[in-house]
Formats: sequence, structure tokens, C-alpha cells
Amino acid sequence: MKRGRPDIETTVSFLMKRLSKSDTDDWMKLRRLIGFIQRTIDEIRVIGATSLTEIMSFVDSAYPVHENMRSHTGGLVSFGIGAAHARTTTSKINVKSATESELVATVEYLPYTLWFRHFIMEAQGYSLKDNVIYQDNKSAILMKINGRNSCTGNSRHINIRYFWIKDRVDNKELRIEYLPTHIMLANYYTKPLQ
Amino acid sequence: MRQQLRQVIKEFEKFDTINANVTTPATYFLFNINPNAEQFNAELSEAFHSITSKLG
Repeated sequence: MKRGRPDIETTVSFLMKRLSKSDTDDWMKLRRLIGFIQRTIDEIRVIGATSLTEIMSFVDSAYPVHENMRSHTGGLVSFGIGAAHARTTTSKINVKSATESELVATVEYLPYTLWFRHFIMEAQGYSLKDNVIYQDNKSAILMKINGRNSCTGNSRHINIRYFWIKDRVDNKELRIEYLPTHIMLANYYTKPLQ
Repeated sequence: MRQQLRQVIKEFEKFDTINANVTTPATYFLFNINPNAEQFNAELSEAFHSITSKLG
């Protein structure tokens, strides 16, 4: 169902974590979700492209929202209209700050962006003009561009494996840009927006 | 996919009523866990498991 209904993915992702310890509170959350599904069951999902040579990825994280103090991360790939791919999941590790959380979120989502890049370039034969990852945390963006050089004090402990993104940026496979929080599309996959 | 969703809705209706007037899939409190919430009986627990798994 995930591929067909990305709009319910955040809620389903959370409820799936509650399967073994579900309670009446979770049932009410499920009840609301089912109500939403019933209301929107006949709506059509729209996916389109303004250009097949420009990939836009949006990555965000909500720090720390889960019971075990882990962040919730989400990302999506778009070609201009709708989301071609979306993913929402609990972060794999506990982190110390929102910046670290954003870094981990990007590194967890990056394989999907790169897969799209390869798919467009190698399988479809297009020459890619631009591959942008949008983020709403400026410190995290600096860490991705400069790697360890932007790590001081509170971020020295971050494992080196989270800096493989710098290599991709250096190779010009992608670039990272700032996008203000209020227009960050990935918010939809990290927070229950009202 | 719509057929699958209709089956899920039908299955849920065996246990509870549905309020289709909601405009979002979750409230602001989605990630909050209520430690005082009651645990399910076996039947509801199985239903929750089954319905959620079909959506996942």
C-alpha cells in the first residue's frame, strides 16, 4: 500500500511500530486513519514531470519524537509534480542534535536519490542537468559540503560513515540547497501536519 | 489498490465505527504514547495487527 498511498505512510509507519504493544490509544489513531482513507479513497494520485533532467529530493527529520528518543526521518524525490518516491522511517540511531539528525536522515535517504540518478542517466539515457537535495538546516548542509571540517565541539563524535555524502558532493553527483521549513515538502513525511 | 482498501475498511467496521469527516490521516499527537492507555484484549489486538499490516 505504501507505493500507492504515500499520504498515509507516516501514520502507517508509526502504527507498524506499535503492533506488538498496541493499546486503545493506538486504536483511536488507526480509527482516524481509516476514516481518512474512506474519505479519500476515490482521490487520484498525480505524478508528473516538468523536466526529466532535473531531480529534486527533499529530506527532513523530526528530532526526537519517538518513545526511544529516536528521530523520524522522511524524504521524497520529485520531478516537479507530485512525489515519484517517498519514504518515512524511524532513524536508525539516536542522535545528539537536530543537525546530526538531519545529517543522518540525508545519508539514509541518499541511496534513493542516487538510484534515481542512475535510472535516469543509464537506463533512460537522459543527461542529467541537476540533482538537488533540499534541506532546512544550514548547519547540516555545511557538514555535508565540508565534511569533518565543519565539525566542532558538539559534532566531533559523529561517525565518519555519515560523511560519505561529502564525496558525492565533491564528485558533483548532487548539490545541496537550503529550503525554508515552511515550504519543505518532506515535512509531510516527518510530522503529522494539520 | 482501492479494492484492498475497501476490504480493510470493511474489516475495521466489524470492530468499530468510522468517522469519515477527518481531513488528515493523523492528529498532532501521532507520536505520543499514552502510558495509561488500556491494553487490548486478544481479539482487538489481532484485529489491530491484521488491519495495520494490510496497510503497511
